[in-house]
Amino acid sequence: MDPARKRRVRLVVALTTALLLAGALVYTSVSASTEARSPSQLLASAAPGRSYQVTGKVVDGSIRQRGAETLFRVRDRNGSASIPVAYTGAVPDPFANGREVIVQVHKSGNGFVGERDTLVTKCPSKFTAKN
Amino acid sequence: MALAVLVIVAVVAWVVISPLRPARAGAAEAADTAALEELEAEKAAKYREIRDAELDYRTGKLDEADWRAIDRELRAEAVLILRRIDALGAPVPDPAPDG
Amino acid sequence: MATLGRACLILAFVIALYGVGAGLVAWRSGRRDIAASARRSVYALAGVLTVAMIILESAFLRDDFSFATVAGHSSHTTPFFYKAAAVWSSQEGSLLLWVWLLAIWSSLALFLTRKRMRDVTPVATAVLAGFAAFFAGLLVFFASPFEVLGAVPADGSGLNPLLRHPSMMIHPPMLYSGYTLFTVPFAFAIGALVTRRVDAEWITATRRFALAAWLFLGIGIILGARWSYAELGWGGYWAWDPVENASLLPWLTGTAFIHSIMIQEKRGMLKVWNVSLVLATGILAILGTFLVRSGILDSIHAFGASTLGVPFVVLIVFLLVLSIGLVAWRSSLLRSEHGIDSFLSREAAFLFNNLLFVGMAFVVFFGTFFPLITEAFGERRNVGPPWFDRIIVPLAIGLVGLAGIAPLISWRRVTRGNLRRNVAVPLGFGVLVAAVLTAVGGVAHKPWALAMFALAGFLIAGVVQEFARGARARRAMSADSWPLAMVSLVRRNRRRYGGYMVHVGIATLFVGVAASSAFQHARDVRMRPGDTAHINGYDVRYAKPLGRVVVRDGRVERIDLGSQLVVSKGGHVLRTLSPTRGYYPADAPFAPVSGMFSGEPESQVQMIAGLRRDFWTAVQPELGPLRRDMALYDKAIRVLAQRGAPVDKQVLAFRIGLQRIVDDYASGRPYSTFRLISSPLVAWIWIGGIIVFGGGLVSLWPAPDGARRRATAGYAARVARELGRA
Repeated sequence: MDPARKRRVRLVVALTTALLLAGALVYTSVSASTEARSPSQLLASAAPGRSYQVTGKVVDGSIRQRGAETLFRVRDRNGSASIPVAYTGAVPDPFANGREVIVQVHKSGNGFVGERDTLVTKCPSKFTAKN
Repeated sequence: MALAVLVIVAVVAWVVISPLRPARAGAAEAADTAALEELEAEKAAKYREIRDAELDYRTGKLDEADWRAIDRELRAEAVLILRRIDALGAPVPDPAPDG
Repeated sequence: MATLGRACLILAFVIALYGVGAGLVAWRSGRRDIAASARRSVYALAGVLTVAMIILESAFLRDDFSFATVAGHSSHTTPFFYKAAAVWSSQEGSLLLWVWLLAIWSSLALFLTRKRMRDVTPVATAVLAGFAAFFAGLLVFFASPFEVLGAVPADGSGLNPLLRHPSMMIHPPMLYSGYTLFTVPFAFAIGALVTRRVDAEWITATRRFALAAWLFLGIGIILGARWSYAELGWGGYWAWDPVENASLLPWLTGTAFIHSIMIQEKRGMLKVWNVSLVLATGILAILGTFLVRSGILDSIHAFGASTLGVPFVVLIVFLLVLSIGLVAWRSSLLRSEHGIDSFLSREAAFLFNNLLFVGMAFVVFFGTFFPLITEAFGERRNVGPPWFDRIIVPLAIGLVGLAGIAPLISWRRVTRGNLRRNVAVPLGFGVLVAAVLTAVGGVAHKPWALAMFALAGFLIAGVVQEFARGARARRAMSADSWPLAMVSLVRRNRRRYGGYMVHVGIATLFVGVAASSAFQHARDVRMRPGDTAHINGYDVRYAKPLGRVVVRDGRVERIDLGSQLVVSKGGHVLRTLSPTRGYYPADAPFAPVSGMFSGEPESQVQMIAGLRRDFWTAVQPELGPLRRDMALYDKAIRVLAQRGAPVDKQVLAFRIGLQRIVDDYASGRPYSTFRLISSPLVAWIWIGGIIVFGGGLVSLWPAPDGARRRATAGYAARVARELGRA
């Protein structure tokens, strides 16, 4: 095979491999991903047993301790629709009323159960657009 | 306060404008110096390659025959570079650094 | 003072604009005096911004709360060390830090190249000044650090206690140094493309800057990981958080670049690839800077202000269009000179390494922006750490294997028989490691970790072999003692041996990561005094609760509540740990005692750190039972206030109330939730980082001119002889 042809063959092989890998990447990511929802979206439609990643703010005054469980409500960032969440385990330091949180939950009965180690609280931003 | 600002502006202006005052003819020699610097860089890189090849041989990655072949190739390439440097004439001395 | 600071920023903006103009004029006209003026404007920029930094820094250190930034991020009780760092804990302070570092590093880069690449540097100057103008513009028009408050508050809001850790002091300056240093090779690449000088000189200069940037960025990333592990209450060091990923992206492409640039140096190949890599790295650095403050992705880091989002996006799009356009325009210049000689060569290994690194960067990029991509197609979805781990781990293992083979292969081509001989011992060692770990360590059930350990063993053995053979070769030529031979070997071949050291550091780091992820035991357990928890052979007894009021400069800084844990193994006491949580006050004038517990809490993690294993503990006290007393004391203070009692009486009541609550806690039997983690080999992550840093320094260190000339003189003489003969 002359060098030009060899180079072209290599290029085709490389591109095909790259495309296959990219395809595999997309496939695994879609199948391994969780839907991101807001509390109001979850209230509207949440299939029991499926995991969702909910983003919202902790409702003021809603944090309660029940044994090892932390109970709180999460509301829309700009809204009041809220869902109850029961989370077991250590809770991150910045977790408090009014903080923005991200947590993976699944529906259980009328409430939602937070999955372990998925509660992320955003570092409180000292800076908002107006400040 | 205003005085401090004025002082800073004055210093900045002096620093930035001072090279512009005695107009120097820089354009003509630039092309030659650039070519020479480029060749010097190529030469340094080639010498590095020659040393690397020898180190590869001495640490047992190449046997002597292979090393001699590579060394010959590299030295031939170095010779070409040296010829091109010579073709440019005597090296241009570096003007006083302008900062 | 604040007006002087603001004046400095405006001046910096103007100077930067001048730098852009002068640089471009110098490029078109070829006039060296204008180029010098442009270069000096960058020096002036550095000077003016240093003045601005000093003003801001001193405002923090003096507790000057008339500065809005100081009032928002510091307080009287913030320790001195952290007041100094609080400067960059805010949006505007961090932007000032960024542009100041940009000016400093740009000045250094332009100073070092002032006598070389005279056609490229004016354009590079213009690009760097352009970046400075952008950031200075942001500071002048959008986010000024020198805003003044109308009414000066008595005390500031204080520094987020999570940031009170030495690593947090150094993490942003290191990270930003990495980002800003990557703009230098970016600028020189633009300059090289514009002036058609993509050649040996460009390679040498760019490689140095890219390596320095890579080093700083890497250290910044590791410091961030260390902070997360030692300071936050979750016990991990990496979460594939979007902002963490954003800092990793330029590091990955930067690593690819410092390898593939050597292929270009030796074979004149991959010119388009290299130039694209370095441009992409610069853009990714800007992207990283943007992501942390944009709010477009859900992340634990949130600077917040979305007003800065649009300018950044515009800048990034502009840089992308500029880069792609330039590469396309100059594509004829970037044609390859040679091909690869043989697939069994170091060049080929570097090529595969590039594919792996760029592949990893693509995976991380894709995973990070997945929410935005899926949102564009329908509904927003996220991928979590498990997905990243699953894909990155095999790639990382591949990299370690590749880095293990590379020292055993020569440039251009290797003699096959020799290769077999060279690989034998390291390979044997790797196999031995795998065998021992399988037989003795019970590691076989985690195949990925086992593969990592075996390959790391292979790599380290290979590097040791290289050092030994190299030293032996030096001894054969100079009859030095072993240590001296080692030193002179490294001094004369810094790139190679510095690189080997970096590889050892990375392998060590990966071993630490593999061990501490695959073999970790973690438990969240709720206990009261007297309870004992069991984890991985450790017995952890909650001995007694702890509580204290921390006073600084006559004010209450925080309340610490926690527990004393007695950790034993096999009946024999190892250590007593006292993890606590510090509660910092929030502003709550009508409920000062409750306010003490509604601000920012901060976990004070305690661990038994060892070379073999870390035992990590954090506590989360339950405050519920205390709430009633808090309300009672608050009511008492309110009553005092209503009755017109003097302020110091209210303060006294406040202090008494706090002390009583704390004492009650310490003498009671309160429940707390504990996170206990037993992780092997965590320390080696940090040790690996230090080795990487050392190796990087060795590789970066310029050979003193004299030594270089002596080393090359011999070759020059020989080559000259050829010349004479021909």
